[in-house]
Amino acid sequence: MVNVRPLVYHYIAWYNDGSKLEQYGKDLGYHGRKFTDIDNDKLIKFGLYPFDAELAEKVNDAGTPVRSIPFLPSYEIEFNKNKRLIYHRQCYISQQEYHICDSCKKEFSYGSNIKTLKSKYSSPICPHCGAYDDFYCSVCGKSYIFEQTSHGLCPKCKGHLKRRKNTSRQYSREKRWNEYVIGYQQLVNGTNVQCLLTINETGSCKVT
Amino acid sequence: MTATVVIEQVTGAAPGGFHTRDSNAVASKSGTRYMTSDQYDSSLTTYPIPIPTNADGISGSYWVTHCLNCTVAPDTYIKNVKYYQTWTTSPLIDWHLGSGAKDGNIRPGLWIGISSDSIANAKVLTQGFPSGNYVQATGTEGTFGYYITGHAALGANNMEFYSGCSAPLSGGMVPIDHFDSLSNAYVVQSGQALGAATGRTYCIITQVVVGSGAVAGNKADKTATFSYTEA
Repeated sequence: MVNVRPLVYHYIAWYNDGSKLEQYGKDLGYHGRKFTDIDNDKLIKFGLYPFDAELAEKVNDAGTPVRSIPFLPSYEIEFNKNKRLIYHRQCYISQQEYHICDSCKKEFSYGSNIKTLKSKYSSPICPHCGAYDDFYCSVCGKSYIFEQTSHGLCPKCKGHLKRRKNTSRQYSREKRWNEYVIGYQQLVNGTNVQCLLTINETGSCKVT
Repeated sequence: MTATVVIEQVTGAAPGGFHTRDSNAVASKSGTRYMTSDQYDSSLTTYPIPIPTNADGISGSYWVTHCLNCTVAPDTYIKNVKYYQTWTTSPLIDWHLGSGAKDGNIRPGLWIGISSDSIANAKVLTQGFPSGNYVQATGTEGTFGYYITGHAALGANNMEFYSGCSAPLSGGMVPIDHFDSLSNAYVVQSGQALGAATGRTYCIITQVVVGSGAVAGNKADKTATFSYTEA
């Protein structure tokens, strides 16, 4: 059971005196720094960077789970006195419905993209092999949905039918993910305006 | 350090037992089952919600309480805790909960307690309650659970935190359908929930209401998501 989603980005705050403040610095033994330690008045640049292998090892050793994914893009925002820094992670913990198809043995999440069998005994239709819960004849083996059967008997050979739960077996699974939000707020014509960049764990981003 | 946060379900007499929903392997701890008993073992199938036989009848599950527990403190804070569920259409349709309505505006569906007087405010202002306000779900085991609120005849048995809430929203409980994505999420706790410290966030309560004509049987699991900002 993993209760922490490993980080893939860390920040560095760059100051106007040539110094910088790292989120995971040697001075703190590679433990995380408080966001409020950042001196916004001296800030000229704030960036999110993927962990390199060496830093990732040190931060992991200090107790914070991180992953080194060096090909992720870096993001930097330049600051002046009028801009105030915004940074946080948007964290998600989701308990999701999953099914295992007994026909093809593959797993699928039962979301809006999954078709459902229209029957009194409905069940999800496996997106991998098309299987669903059916009624099969114990004599001839032919498969039916409930509405095709004849009072519980096989319409073809009159053998007894048995229900087969191919896709309705389900369980919940926890999924966690983070989004990294950086940006600034500033006064524009007397109005406080925020500009935010939301970066997901694959390095893609959107501006809001 | 990065915060360690888990989803918990709260059961038992106040202040309640907190049970982690770690959901990856152990069936009894996986997700949450709505039933007519105050139980956290989600593999139990012995307390189903009976389907009413009269045309306008409804029957509630015991309400269910959830919160987040932070067991390793964040570096700076945890803020803006939110909650939403993802449905293909709605609990009423996806789970075939039937029809019927009585006791004010309560009807079949999946409901959540709110303290604001509008859906719009429930997406902006704190709607959850401190764990100190937790009230154990009650009812008649195997038969029905008392409603979160809005039940005139059973008012004394409503969940205390929401029972005084205003009438336009069925007296403090609304269908979960209104909260279906992060941008449409129910605000469990706005502002700072925790500083650089461990502890629990505010709690939420949800409840299933079944009406006549509902389709019997175990219902498909659906997706519930907590979200929060951390720095």
